[in-house]
Amino acid sequence: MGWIMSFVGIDIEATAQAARALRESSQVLGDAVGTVTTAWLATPLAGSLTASLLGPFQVAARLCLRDAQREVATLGDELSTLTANVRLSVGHHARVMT
Amino acid sequence: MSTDSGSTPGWMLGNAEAVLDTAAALHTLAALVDTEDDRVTTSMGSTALALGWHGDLVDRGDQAAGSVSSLFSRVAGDLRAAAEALTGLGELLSSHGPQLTSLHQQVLDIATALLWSDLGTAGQQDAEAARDDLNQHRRLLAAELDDADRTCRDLLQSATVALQDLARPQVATGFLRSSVPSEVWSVFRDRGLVDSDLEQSLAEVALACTTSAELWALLAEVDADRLDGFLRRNPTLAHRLTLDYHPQNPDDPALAGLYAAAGPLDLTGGSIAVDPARIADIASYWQGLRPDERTRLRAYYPALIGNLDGIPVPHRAAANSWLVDAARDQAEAEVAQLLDGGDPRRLAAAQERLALFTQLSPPGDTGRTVPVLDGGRVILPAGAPAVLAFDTRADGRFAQWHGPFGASNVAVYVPGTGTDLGSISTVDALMRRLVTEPDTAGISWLGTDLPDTVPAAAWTRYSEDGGESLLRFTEGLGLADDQSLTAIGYSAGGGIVAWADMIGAKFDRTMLLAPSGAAVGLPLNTPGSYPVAAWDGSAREVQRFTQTAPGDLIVLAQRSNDARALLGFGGLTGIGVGLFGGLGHGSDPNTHDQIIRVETGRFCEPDEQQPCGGTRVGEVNPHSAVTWPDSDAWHNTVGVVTGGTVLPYRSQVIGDLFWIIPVHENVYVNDAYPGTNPVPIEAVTPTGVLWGPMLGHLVKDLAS
Repeated sequence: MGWIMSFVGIDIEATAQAARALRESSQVLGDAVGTVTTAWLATPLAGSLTASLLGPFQVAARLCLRDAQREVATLGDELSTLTANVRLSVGHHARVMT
Repeated sequence: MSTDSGSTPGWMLGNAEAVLDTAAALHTLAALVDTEDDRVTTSMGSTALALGWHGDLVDRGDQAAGSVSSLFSRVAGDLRAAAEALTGLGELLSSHGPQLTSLHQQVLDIATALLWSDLGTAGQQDAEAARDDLNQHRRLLAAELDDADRTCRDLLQSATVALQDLARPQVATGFLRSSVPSEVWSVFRDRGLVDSDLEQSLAEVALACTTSAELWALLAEVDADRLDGFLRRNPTLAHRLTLDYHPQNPDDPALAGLYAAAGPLDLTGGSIAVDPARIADIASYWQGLRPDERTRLRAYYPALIGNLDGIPVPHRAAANSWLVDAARDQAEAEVAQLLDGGDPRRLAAAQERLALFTQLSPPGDTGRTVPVLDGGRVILPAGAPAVLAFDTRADGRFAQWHGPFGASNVAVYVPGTGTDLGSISTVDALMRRLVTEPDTAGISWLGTDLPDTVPAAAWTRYSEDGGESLLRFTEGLGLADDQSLTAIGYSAGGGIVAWADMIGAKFDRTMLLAPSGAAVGLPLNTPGSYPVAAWDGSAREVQRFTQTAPGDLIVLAQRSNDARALLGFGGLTGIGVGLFGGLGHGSDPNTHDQIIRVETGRFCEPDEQQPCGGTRVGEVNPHSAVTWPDSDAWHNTVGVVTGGTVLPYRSQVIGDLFWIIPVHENVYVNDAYPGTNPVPIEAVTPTGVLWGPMLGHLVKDLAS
C-alpha cells in the first residue's frame, strides 16, 4: 500500500509523454554515434599533424555520444516503467472499487 | 635546386573538399546535440512537474537552457571546435592547394628546360632565378599550411582531451544530471528514477570487484526493485555479469534450487542442453520463486536464465536484454578503438558486429502493446524486443519472439545452411512480415549449429542435434493449450524440424520449405513414420506440409534416400547404410504418406491473394524463392501457420518410363495454367507413397 501511495500526485500522461520524448532523443543520439566519421580523413591528410589526431578524436566523440544516449535511454525506460506501474496500481484500485 | 618536386607533402595538394565536408558534418552534429540537449532538459523539467515538483517552470527552463555546464553542450562545443579547426585547415587547403600544384608544375617545367634545352648562359640564369622565386613562393604557402595544420592539430587535441574527460565508460557520466537544476534532479532521485547517493557509492566500490562473487555480494545491497535500474545506469557492472553461462554461486540458494530442478546440464554443444523431462520442473520451480528472487536471478546470471529452456518467455527476454546490450557496447568500444589506426580487417569485422547487434532486436513495434509485469514491476516494456536465446560465441545462438505473447498462432522458423548470427536478421525480417497476420507470433530460431556449406549439410548430425535442440526450445516455450505451434524449416532447417517431429516434438503443424529430408526412414535407423505420441507419451496430432519449387536441386538430397531404399530392395541395405553412414536426412518429404505437398505456384503483387498470377516461383533461384514473401509459396506458409488455406500440389502425366511408369510434370510448368484454387488446410490430406510418380519425378528432375 505504501508503494501505491507513493504515486499520489503523478501526472501520468505528462510522464508518459516525457518518456516518449526521451526515447526519441535516445534514438537520435544513437544514430548520431554512427555519423562521427573523421578517421577516414587520415588517408588524404597522411603526413600532416592533424591526421594523427583524427582517430582519437573520433573514438572519444563516439564513446561520449554513446554514454549520453545510454543515459537518456535508461531514464526513458525508467519513466516508462513508472507510468506502467502507476497505471497498474490505478487499474487495480478501480477494479477493487467497482 | 633548393626545393625539389618531393618537398611539398602530398596532403597539401590533397582534397580540401573532403576536409570541409567533414567539418560541415561535425557542425551539423553539434547542432543536433544542442537540440537534443534542449529536448532532454525540457522533458526532464516537465517530468519533474508531473512528479509533483512545484518549482517555477519558466525559471527552471531559463536556468537549464542558459546552463553552460551541461555535458551535452560541452560535447556540442567540442564537436564544434573540431569542426572549426578542420574548417580552418580546409579553407587554407582549398586556396593554397591549387597554387601549390601549379607552382609545382612550373618548377618541373623549368627543371625540364634547364636539363634538355640550350638556353644559353643568360637564359639559364633567368630560368634559375624564376625557379627560385617559384620555390620561395612554394615554401611560403607550405609554411602557412604547416602553421594551419599545427593549429588544427592543437585544437583537435584540445577537443579530444575534453571529450575523453567526459567519456568515462566506467561510471555514469552525468549527462542528465548536468542538464537540470539541482532541485529538479532531487525530484528524480527522490522518486528513485536515478541512482541515490548510496547507490552511486556502491557502484564505485563494485567497479573495483575482481570476482563475480564479490560483485554478487555487493549487489545484494541493492533493493531488488531497484536492481534493474541500477544495472542499466551502471552498464559496466551489468556487462561483467553476462559472461558466464554456467555460473556457480554457493551463497545463492535460489540458483542452487534452479540447478536442482534442471538436473545435469550439457554445455558441450554450444547450447545449454537440459533433459526435456526437466523442462516442466524448471518452469514450475521458477513460478514458485518470489518476484525479487526472479529479479536477482535474471540480473545476476543473465546468460543462464536467458538461454535455459523452461524459463518463461518474458523472463528469458528480460535476461537476454542484458546480453544484447553488453554485446553491442563491447562492439562499439572495439570499433572505436580500432578506428584509431587498428587492423582494417579487424575493424571491418568489428563494424559488422556492431551493425549486427544494433539491428538485431531493435526497439520499436514489437506487436506487444502492454508491458510484462512480475510482482507489480515491469520486467519487459511493451516496445522491448524479446530475445529468447543469445550467444555470440562461434557461429552464435539466437532466437527472437515477434508479435504478441498470447497469439493464437505461433510459428518458429528454422533457417538453412550457412545461417549464423551475422545473417539471422534475414529470418527476423521474415518473422516481422509474418506477424502482420492477425493473432500471430513468429520466432526466428538459431538454436543450433547449422552447416556452413552445402557439402557439410549432408551430415545427419546437423538434423539430429538441431532437432533435439528445437524440441527442447519449443517445449520450453510453455504455450497454452489454445495456442497452436507451427514449426517452419527451410532447407537444412527442414531436416531439423522433421527430426524434432520424428522424436516427438509437440508441434501442431510443420511446414518444410525445400527441406533436406523428412528425417524418417533409411539409412538413419529411424522409424519410417512419425510417431503418433509426443516424446513424453502424451497425445499429439501433427499436420505436416512441404513445398519445393520445380527446378530446385534440393531434390537430389530429398531423393537420395530413394536410391538407398532401392538398394534395400536388392538386399543391399547394409551396404547402403555402411557406405553412407552418418549422411543424409531421411525419406523424400514430397512423397511421404504423412506429409502434404503444396504448390509453390507463382509470385504476387503485395496485396494479391492466391492463386498468384506473376512469374512462377522457381524460375529464378528456385531453392531460396520458396521463402520469399508475395508468392503462393509464402501464402501457403502463412496459411499453415494461421490455419488458413494452401494450394495443393498438382501434376499431370506427360509420358512414361519403360512403358510402365508414368512420368509426371508439375501443372505450373505450363505457363498458361490458370492456377490452382486454394483449399483450407483441414481439407487437404497426404497423397501417400506413389512409387510411380515418385520415380517418374526423379527421372524428370534428373533429366532437367
